[in-house]
Amino acid sequence: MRRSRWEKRNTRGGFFLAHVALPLVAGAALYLLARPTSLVLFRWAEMAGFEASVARARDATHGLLPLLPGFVRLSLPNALWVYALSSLLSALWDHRATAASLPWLALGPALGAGFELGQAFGFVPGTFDPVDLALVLAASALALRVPFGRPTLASIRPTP
Amino acid sequence: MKTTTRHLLSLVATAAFVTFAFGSLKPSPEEEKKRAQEQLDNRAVYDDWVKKVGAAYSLVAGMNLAGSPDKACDGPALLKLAKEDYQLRLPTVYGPYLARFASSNPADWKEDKGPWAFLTESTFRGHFEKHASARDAYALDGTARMIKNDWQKFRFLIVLWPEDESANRLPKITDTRTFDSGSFKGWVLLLDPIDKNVACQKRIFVENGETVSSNESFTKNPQKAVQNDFENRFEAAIEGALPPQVKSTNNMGALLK
Repeated sequence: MRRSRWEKRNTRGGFFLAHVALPLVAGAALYLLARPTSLVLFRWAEMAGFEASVARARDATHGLLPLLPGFVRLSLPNALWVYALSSLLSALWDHRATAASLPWLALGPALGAGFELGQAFGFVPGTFDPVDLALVLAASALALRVPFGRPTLASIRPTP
Repeated sequence: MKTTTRHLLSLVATAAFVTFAFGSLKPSPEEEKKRAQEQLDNRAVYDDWVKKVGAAYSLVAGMNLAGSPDKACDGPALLKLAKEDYQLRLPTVYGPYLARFASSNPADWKEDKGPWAFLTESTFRGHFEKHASARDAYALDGTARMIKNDWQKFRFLIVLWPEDESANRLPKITDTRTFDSGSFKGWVLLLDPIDKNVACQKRIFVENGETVSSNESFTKNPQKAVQNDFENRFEAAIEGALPPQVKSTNNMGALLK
Protein backbone atom coordinates (compact mmCIF):
# COMPACT_ATOMS: atom_id res chain seq x y z
CA MET A 1 0.00 0.00 0.00
CA ARG A 2 1.33 3.43 -0.91
CA ARG A 3 2.04 5.77 1.98
CA SER A 4 1.91 9.56 1.91
CA ARG A 5 5.17 11.50 2.22
CA TRP A 6 4.04 12.71 5.63
CA GLU A 7 3.52 9.13 6.82
CA LYS A 8 6.91 8.02 5.51
CA ARG A 9 8.62 10.79 7.44
CA ASN A 10 6.77 9.95 10.62
CA THR A 11 7.41 6.44 11.83
CA ARG A 12 5.75 5.73 15.17
CA GLY A 13 8.94 6.09 17.24
CA GLY A 14 10.18 9.07 15.28
CA PHE A 15 6.83 10.80 15.58
CA PHE A 16 6.70 10.24 19.34
CA LEU A 17 10.21 11.58 19.74
CA ALA A 18 9.81 14.67 17.55
CA HIS A 19 6.22 15.66 18.30
CA VAL A 20 5.66 14.46 21.86
CA ALA A 21 8.87 13.87 23.83
CA LEU A 22 10.90 16.74 22.40
CA PRO A 23 8.27 19.48 22.93
CA LEU A 24 7.60 18.15 26.42
CA VAL A 25 11.29 18.14 27.33
CA ALA A 26 11.77 21.60 25.80
CA GLY A 27 8.83 22.96 27.81
CA ALA A 28 10.10 21.37 31.03
CA ALA A 29 13.59 22.71 30.34
CA LEU A 30 12.23 26.24 29.95
CA TYR A 31 10.43 25.85 33.26
CA LEU A 32 13.48 24.46 35.03
CA LEU A 33 15.89 27.01 33.63
CA ALA A 34 13.89 30.20 33.50
CA ARG A 35 11.17 30.03 36.15
CA PRO A 36 11.25 30.62 39.91
CA THR A 37 12.49 27.59 41.79
CA SER A 38 9.53 27.49 44.12
CA LEU A 39 7.44 25.64 41.51
CA VAL A 40 6.38 22.07 42.24
CA LEU A 41 8.39 20.81 39.24
CA PHE A 42 11.60 21.59 41.14
CA ARG A 43 10.57 19.40 44.06
CA TRP A 44 9.97 16.58 41.58
CA ALA A 45 13.39 17.12 40.00
CA GLU A 46 14.94 16.99 43.49
CA MET A 47 13.07 13.79 44.36
CA ALA A 48 14.25 12.23 41.10
CA GLY A 49 17.85 13.12 41.98
CA PHE A 50 18.29 15.78 39.28
CA GLU A 51 18.89 18.64 41.69
CA ALA A 52 22.60 18.96 40.95
CA SER A 53 22.06 18.76 37.18
CA VAL A 54 19.32 21.40 37.30
CA ALA A 55 21.51 23.62 39.49
CA ARG A 56 24.45 23.27 37.08
CA ALA A 57 22.23 24.03 34.09
CA ARG A 58 20.71 27.08 35.78
CA ASP A 59 24.18 28.27 36.74
CA ALA A 60 25.45 27.81 33.20
CA THR A 61 22.53 29.69 31.66
CA HIS A 62 22.31 32.32 34.40
CA GLY A 63 22.25 35.73 32.79
CA LEU A 64 21.48 34.34 29.33
CA LEU A 65 17.84 33.35 29.71
CA PRO A 66 16.61 36.84 30.57
CA LEU A 67 17.78 37.73 27.05
CA LEU A 68 15.11 35.44 25.58
CA PRO A 69 11.86 37.14 24.58
CA GLY A 70 9.27 37.06 27.34
CA PHE A 71 6.83 34.94 25.37
CA VAL A 72 9.46 32.18 24.97
CA ARG A 73 10.07 32.01 28.72
CA LEU A 74 6.51 32.54 29.87
CA SER A 75 4.07 31.37 27.19
CA LEU A 76 5.90 28.81 25.06
CA PRO A 77 6.06 26.02 27.69
CA ASN A 78 2.24 25.82 27.89
CA ALA A 79 1.96 25.85 24.11
CA LEU A 80 4.53 23.04 23.87
CA TRP A 81 2.54 21.03 26.43
CA VAL A 82 -0.65 21.44 24.38
CA TYR A 83 1.23 20.57 21.17
CA ALA A 84 2.67 17.38 22.71
CA LEU A 85 -0.66 16.25 24.15
CA SER A 86 -2.60 16.98 20.95
CA SER A 87 0.04 15.24 18.83
CA LEU A 88 0.00 12.17 21.07
CA LEU A 89 -3.79 11.91 21.05
CA SER A 90 -3.84 12.46 17.30
CA ALA A 91 -1.28 9.65 16.83
CA LEU A 92 -3.26 7.31 19.09
CA TRP A 93 -6.19 7.79 16.71
CA ASP A 94 -4.06 7.36 13.56
CA HIS A 95 -4.37 11.08 12.81
CA ARG A 96 -7.97 10.63 11.71
CA ALA A 97 -10.90 12.75 12.70
CA THR A 98 -13.73 10.33 13.36
CA ALA A 99 -16.74 10.37 15.64
CA ALA A 100 -14.80 8.33 18.20
CA SER A 101 -11.58 10.35 18.00
CA LEU A 102 -13.09 13.85 17.91
CA PRO A 103 -13.60 14.30 21.67
CA TRP A 104 -9.98 13.25 22.29
CA LEU A 105 -8.63 15.46 19.53
CA ALA A 106 -10.52 18.39 20.98
CA LEU A 107 -9.25 17.70 24.50
CA GLY A 108 -5.74 19.18 24.07
CA PRO A 109 -6.93 22.57 22.78
CA ALA A 110 -9.84 22.55 25.24
CA LEU A 111 -7.55 21.96 28.23
CA GLY A 112 -5.00 24.52 27.05
CA ALA A 113 -7.50 27.22 26.18
CA GLY A 114 -9.67 26.36 29.18
CA PHE A 115 -6.73 26.84 31.51
CA GLU A 116 -6.00 30.27 30.01
CA LEU A 117 -9.66 31.37 29.95
CA GLY A 118 -10.05 30.05 33.48
CA GLN A 119 -7.37 32.53 34.51
CA ALA A 120 -9.29 35.32 32.72
CA PHE A 121 -12.44 34.51 34.70
CA GLY A 122 -10.62 33.81 37.95
CA PHE A 123 -11.32 30.04 38.14
CA VAL A 124 -7.68 29.15 37.76
CA PRO A 125 -4.83 30.78 39.71
CA GLY A 126 -2.56 32.96 37.60
CA THR A 127 -2.76 35.94 35.30
CA PHE A 128 -4.50 35.78 31.94
CA ASP A 129 -2.28 36.66 29.02
CA PRO A 130 -3.68 36.83 25.47
CA VAL A 131 -0.26 35.78 24.12
CA ASP A 132 -0.57 32.52 26.10
CA LEU A 133 -3.98 31.86 24.57
CA ALA A 134 -2.83 32.70 21.04
CA LEU A 135 0.17 30.38 21.33
CA VAL A 136 -1.94 27.56 22.77
CA LEU A 137 -4.38 27.84 19.86
CA ALA A 138 -1.53 28.01 17.32
CA ALA A 139 0.09 24.94 18.88
CA SER A 140 -3.23 23.05 18.73
CA ALA A 141 -3.72 23.98 15.08
CA LEU A 142 -0.20 22.85 14.27
CA ALA A 143 -0.58 19.54 16.07
CA LEU A 144 -3.98 18.77 14.58
CA ARG A 145 -3.18 19.91 11.05
CA VAL A 146 -3.13 16.32 9.79
CA PRO A 147 -6.47 14.96 11.05
CA PHE A 148 -8.27 18.21 10.32
CA GLY A 149 -6.23 19.55 7.46
CA ARG A 150 -5.05 18.11 4.18
CA PRO A 151 -6.38 14.52 3.87
CA THR A 152 -3.70 11.85 3.82
CA LEU A 153 -4.00 8.37 2.34
CA ALA A 154 -4.50 7.11 5.86
CA SER A 155 -7.40 9.43 6.50
CA ILE A 156 -9.30 8.45 3.36
CA ARG A 157 -8.70 4.76 3.88
CA PRO A 158 -12.07 3.11 4.54
CA THR A 159 -12.58 2.23 8.17
CA PRO A 160 -12.72 -1.54 8.55
CA MET B 1 -5.64 -1.35 17.62
CA LYS B 2 -9.14 -1.73 19.05
CA THR B 3 -11.21 1.37 19.69
CA THR B 4 -11.48 0.50 23.39
CA THR B 5 -7.71 0.32 23.63
CA ARG B 6 -7.41 3.72 21.92
CA HIS B 7 -9.87 5.21 24.43
CA LEU B 8 -7.95 3.70 27.30
CA LEU B 9 -4.56 4.88 26.04
CA SER B 10 -5.97 8.36 25.38
CA LEU B 11 -7.26 8.48 28.95
CA VAL B 12 -3.91 7.38 30.37
CA ALA B 13 -2.01 9.88 28.18
CA THR B 14 -4.30 12.74 29.19
CA ALA B 15 -4.01 11.83 32.87
CA ALA B 16 -0.21 11.73 32.60
CA PHE B 17 -0.12 15.12 30.88
CA VAL B 18 -2.47 16.69 33.42
CA THR B 19 -0.31 15.31 36.26
CA PHE B 20 2.74 16.76 34.55
CA ALA B 21 0.98 20.13 34.33
CA PHE B 22 0.70 20.18 38.13
CA GLY B 23 4.46 20.68 38.13
CA SER B 24 3.91 24.25 36.98
CA LEU B 25 1.85 25.05 40.05
CA LYS B 26 3.16 27.23 42.81
CA PRO B 27 3.44 25.64 46.26
CA SER B 28 1.29 26.78 49.16
CA PRO B 29 2.20 30.20 50.66
CA GLU B 30 3.54 28.42 53.77
CA GLU B 31 5.75 26.16 51.67
CA GLU B 32 6.90 29.14 49.62
CA LYS B 33 7.76 31.07 52.79
CA LYS B 34 9.65 28.06 54.13
CA ARG B 35 11.65 27.75 50.90
CA ALA B 36 12.48 31.45 50.90
CA GLN B 37 13.75 31.20 54.48
CA GLU B 38 15.77 28.11 53.57
CA GLN B 39 17.34 30.03 50.71
CA LEU B 40 18.30 32.88 53.05
CA ASP B 41 19.79 30.42 55.55
CA ASN B 42 21.71 28.66 52.81
CA ARG B 43 23.13 31.93 51.57
CA ALA B 44 24.30 32.73 55.10
CA VAL B 45 26.01 29.31 55.33
CA TYR B 46 27.69 29.90 51.96
CA ASP B 47 28.92 33.40 52.82
CA ASP B 48 30.18 32.33 56.23
CA TRP B 49 32.11 29.33 54.96
CA VAL B 50 33.62 31.21 52.01
CA LYS B 51 34.79 33.89 54.42
CA LYS B 52 36.36 31.30 56.70
CA VAL B 53 38.14 29.53 53.85
CA GLY B 54 39.35 32.90 52.59
CA ALA B 55 40.77 33.74 56.02
CA ALA B 56 42.42 30.32 56.29
CA TYR B 57 43.94 30.75 52.83
CA SER B 58 45.35 34.17 53.77
CA LEU B 59 46.92 32.59 56.83
CA VAL B 60 48.72 29.93 54.78
CA ALA B 61 49.71 32.43 52.09
CA GLY B 62 51.34 34.55 54.78
CA MET B 63 53.23 31.62 56.37
CA ASN B 64 56.85 30.88 55.62
CA LEU B 65 56.36 27.23 54.83
CA ALA B 66 59.85 26.84 53.38
CA GLY B 67 61.45 26.78 56.78
CA SER B 68 58.75 24.96 58.69
CA PRO B 69 59.05 21.28 59.57
CA ASP B 70 56.45 18.58 58.93
CA LYS B 71 53.65 18.41 61.45
CA ALA B 72 52.23 14.92 61.74
CA CYS B 73 48.49 14.36 61.46
CA ASP B 74 46.82 12.87 64.49
CA GLY B 75 44.02 10.84 62.90
CA PRO B 76 41.92 10.22 66.04
CA ALA B 77 42.24 13.89 67.07
CA LEU B 78 41.09 15.00 63.61
CA LEU B 79 38.08 12.68 63.83
CA LYS B 80 37.25 14.10 67.23
CA LEU B 81 37.46 17.68 65.98
CA ALA B 82 35.18 16.86 63.04
CA LYS B 83 32.86 14.88 65.35
CA GLU B 84 33.16 11.83 63.14
CA ASP B 85 33.63 8.25 64.31
CA TYR B 86 35.26 6.46 61.44
CA GLN B 87 36.63 8.42 58.51
CA LEU B 88 36.93 11.89 57.00
CA ARG B 89 36.38 12.10 53.24
CA LEU B 90 37.92 15.37 52.16
CA PRO B 91 38.34 17.18 48.84
CA THR B 92 41.80 18.06 47.63
CA VAL B 93 42.36 21.67 46.57
CA TYR B 94 45.31 23.22 44.77
CA GLY B 95 46.45 26.00 47.13
CA PRO B 96 46.39 28.92 44.66
CA TYR B 97 42.80 28.00 43.71
CA LEU B 98 41.76 29.14 47.18
CA ALA B 99 42.94 32.71 46.54
CA ARG B 100 39.48 33.57 45.22
CA PHE B 101 37.95 32.86 48.62
CA ALA B 102 39.94 35.75 50.04
CA SER B 103 39.12 38.09 47.16
CA SER B 104 36.18 40.44 46.93
CA ASN B 105 36.71 40.88 43.19
CA PRO B 106 34.14 38.74 41.30
CA ALA B 107 36.56 38.56 38.34
CA ASP B 108 38.88 36.36 40.44
CA TRP B 109 36.19 33.68 40.51
CA LYS B 110 36.67 31.85 37.25
CA GLU B 111 37.28 28.41 35.85
CA ASP B 112 40.73 27.04 36.66
CA LYS B 113 42.25 26.33 33.27
CA GLY B 114 45.75 25.98 34.64
CA PRO B 115 47.85 22.81 34.43
CA TRP B 116 47.29 21.98 38.09
CA ALA B 117 43.49 22.14 37.98
CA PHE B 118 43.36 18.35 38.34
CA LEU B 119 44.61 18.72 41.90
CA THR B 120 41.35 20.36 42.91
CA GLU B 121 38.56 17.84 43.21
CA SER B 122 36.20 18.39 40.29
CA THR B 123 32.99 18.78 42.36
CA PHE B 124 34.63 21.32 44.62
CA ARG B 125 36.10 23.14 41.62
CA GLY B 126 32.74 23.26 39.84
CA HIS B 127 30.99 24.88 42.79
CA PHE B 128 33.36 27.82 43.02
CA GLU B 129 33.97 28.78 39.40
CA LYS B 130 31.76 31.83 39.62
CA HIS B 131 31.30 34.53 42.22
CA ALA B 132 28.05 34.29 44.18
CA SER B 133 26.81 37.50 42.56
CA ALA B 134 27.02 35.87 39.11
CA ARG B 135 25.30 32.64 40.13
CA ASP B 136 21.76 31.39 40.09
CA ALA B 137 20.18 31.30 43.56
CA TYR B 138 19.07 27.67 43.14
CA ALA B 139 22.61 26.62 42.19
CA LEU B 140 24.00 28.55 45.15
CA ASP B 141 21.54 26.62 47.33
CA GLY B 142 23.11 23.40 46.04
CA THR B 143 26.58 24.65 46.92
CA ALA B 144 25.41 25.63 50.40
CA ARG B 145 24.02 22.12 50.89
CA MET B 146 27.36 20.63 49.80
CA ILE B 147 29.10 22.89 52.31
CA LYS B 148 26.76 21.84 55.11
CA ASN B 149 26.65 18.13 54.31
CA ASP B 150 30.23 17.55 53.22
CA TRP B 151 32.87 20.23 53.41
CA GLN B 152 31.82 21.86 56.66
CA LYS B 153 30.73 18.57 58.16
CA PHE B 154 34.15 16.99 57.59
CA ARG B 155 35.73 20.27 58.61
CA PHE B 156 39.11 20.07 56.82
CA LEU B 157 40.39 20.58 53.30
CA ILE B 158 43.39 18.76 51.86
CA VAL B 159 45.38 21.61 50.37
CA LEU B 160 48.23 20.96 47.93
CA TRP B 161 50.49 23.93 48.32
CA PRO B 162 53.32 24.46 45.81
CA GLU B 163 56.73 25.51 47.04
CA ASP B 164 57.35 27.46 43.85
CA GLU B 165 54.57 27.46 41.26
CA SER B 166 56.89 28.31 38.40
CA ALA B 167 59.34 25.52 39.20
CA ASN B 168 56.73 22.76 39.21
CA ARG B 169 55.96 21.15 35.88
CA LEU B 170 53.80 18.47 34.34
CA PRO B 171 55.38 15.53 32.48
CA LYS B 172 55.96 16.06 28.79
CA ILE B 173 56.65 13.70 25.92
CA THR B 174 59.88 14.66 24.21
CA ASP B 175 60.21 11.90 21.64
CA THR B 176 58.32 8.78 20.64
CA ARG B 177 59.73 6.86 23.59
CA THR B 178 61.11 9.48 25.98
CA PHE B 179 59.64 12.10 28.27
CA ASP B 180 60.56 14.81 30.73
CA SER B 181 59.37 13.83 34.17
CA GLY B 182 56.75 15.90 35.90
CA SER B 183 57.81 17.50 39.15
CA PHE B 184 55.90 18.96 42.06
CA LYS B 185 57.57 20.20 45.20
CA GLY B 186 55.29 21.42 47.92
CA TRP B 187 53.17 20.42 50.88
CA VAL B 188 50.09 18.50 51.73
CA LEU B 189 48.29 20.66 54.30
CA LEU B 190 45.20 19.77 56.24
CA LEU B 191 43.52 23.15 56.44
CA ASP B 192 40.94 23.82 59.13
CA PRO B 193 38.82 26.79 58.03
CA ILE B 194 36.72 26.62 61.19
CA ASP B 195 39.64 27.23 63.56
CA LYS B 196 41.63 29.03 60.87
CA ASN B 197 44.76 26.91 61.22
CA VAL B 198 46.79 24.17 59.60
CA ALA B 199 46.05 20.95 61.47
CA CYS B 200 49.02 19.12 59.97
CA GLN B 201 51.46 19.41 57.11
CA LYS B 202 53.86 17.19 55.22
CA ARG B 203 56.33 18.07 52.54
CA ILE B 204 55.93 16.09 49.31
CA PHE B 205 57.95 15.68 46.16
CA VAL B 206 56.18 14.00 43.28
CA GLU B 207 57.77 12.96 40.00
CA ASN B 208 57.28 10.30 37.35
CA GLY B 209 58.93 6.92 37.50
CA GLU B 210 62.04 6.21 35.42
CA THR B 211 59.90 4.30 32.98
CA VAL B 212 56.19 4.44 32.28
CA SER B 213 54.49 1.35 30.98
CA SER B 214 50.98 1.27 29.76
CA ASN B 215 48.93 -1.35 27.98
CA GLU B 216 47.25 0.59 25.20
CA SER B 217 47.32 4.24 25.96
CA PHE B 218 51.07 4.69 25.52
CA THR B 219 51.05 4.08 21.79
CA LYS B 220 47.67 5.77 21.36
CA ASN B 221 48.31 8.74 23.59
CA PRO B 222 51.75 8.77 25.23
CA GLN B 223 51.15 12.18 26.84
CA LYS B 224 48.12 10.75 28.62
CA ALA B 225 50.09 7.73 29.77
CA VAL B 226 52.82 9.82 31.44
CA GLN B 227 50.19 12.19 32.89
CA ASN B 228 48.32 9.18 34.37
CA ASP B 229 51.53 7.90 35.87
CA PHE B 230 52.20 11.32 37.42
CA GLU B 231 48.66 11.56 38.81
CA ASN B 232 48.89 8.05 40.27
CA ARG B 233 52.10 8.96 42.03
CA PHE B 234 50.54 12.21 43.22
CA GLU B 235 47.64 10.30 44.69
CA ALA B 236 50.01 7.89 46.41
CA ALA B 237 51.97 10.83 47.85
CA ILE B 238 48.77 12.37 49.23
CA GLU B 239 47.65 9.05 50.70
CA GLY B 240 51.06 8.61 52.27
CA ALA B 241 50.93 12.03 53.87
CA LEU B 242 47.58 11.45 55.55
CA PRO B 243 46.57 9.21 58.43
CA PRO B 244 44.33 6.21 57.61
CA GLN B 245 41.33 8.06 59.03
CA VAL B 246 41.54 10.69 56.27
CA LYS B 247 40.73 9.90 52.65
CA SER B 248 40.80 12.11 49.59
CA THR B 249 37.69 12.32 47.42
CA ASN B 250 39.73 13.32 44.36
CA ASN B 251 39.76 10.43 41.91
CA MET B 252 42.71 11.68 39.89
CA GLY B 253 44.78 8.55 40.42
CA ALA B 254 44.30 4.85 39.91
CA LEU B 255 43.55 4.01 43.54
CA LEU B 256 40.02 5.37 43.48
CA LYS B 257 39.25 4.76 39.81
